[in-house]
Amino acid sequence: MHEHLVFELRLPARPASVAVARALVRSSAALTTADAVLVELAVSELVTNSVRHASADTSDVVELQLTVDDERIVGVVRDHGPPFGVLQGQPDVDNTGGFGLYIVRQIAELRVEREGAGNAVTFVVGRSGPGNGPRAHGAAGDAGCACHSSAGTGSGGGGPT
Amino acid sequence: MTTPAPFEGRVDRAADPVRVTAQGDLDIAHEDAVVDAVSTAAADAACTAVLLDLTDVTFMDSSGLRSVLRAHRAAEAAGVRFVVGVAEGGPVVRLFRIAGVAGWLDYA
Repeated sequence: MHEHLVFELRLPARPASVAVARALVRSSAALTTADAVLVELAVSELVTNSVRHASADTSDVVELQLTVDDERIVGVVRDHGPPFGVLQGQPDVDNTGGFGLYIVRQIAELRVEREGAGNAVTFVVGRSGPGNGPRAHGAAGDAGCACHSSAGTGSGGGGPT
Repeated sequence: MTTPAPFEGRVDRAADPVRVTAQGDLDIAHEDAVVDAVSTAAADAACTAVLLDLTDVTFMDSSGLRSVLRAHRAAEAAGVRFVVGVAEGGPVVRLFRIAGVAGWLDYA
């Protein structure tokens, strides 16, 4: 089984970075459209979670790594924030927080670990059926294309924070 | 890299119900904008109902969901009926179903 790096990304821990991470998922030729929809949602939730819990230090960063093999897609989001737990069960209508990790657990396997002075949150999504090859756009549709991207901390876009 | 759909919000106070339209990707960067738009519309004494039109939202995550639930709460607190407009089969309905909140809201 061959594992391929789709991308690694470092982003400033601010709200505008969430859209940047999603855009990279959307444009990845290594993911089918069906897989990209789920991965985009999981990435958006976990990067958002890290941004919300990041320190007030404007130099704080969030790291995202995405790999694929024949059967699954694995994403890891690392931050330098304080530890956090995962709510069991669905949030209720009076508590509008806590939906992010709940949603990820509905579409993927989720693992939250403490790693040094930060968190490493891993999600695993099974790849869609063999009939769904890589999307046609991109570098010849090669699923093995390891688009190793690195967005610096200054490239997170100019949206509101 | 595919450019994220830029978020855009509009308010039509002449419509009945007052229409707040959100377009583009609704995430953490725009959560407060939606809540503020609905809260401001609902605070108008002449307003009896607000429609939050999400038909053209291209992506929504839990931050977007939270903005809808907060807007709902703000409208109810102002004594204003709150309904949402969605595209069946679109990303908003998909997220509502994943989160298990589809039955929490009234639809246009």
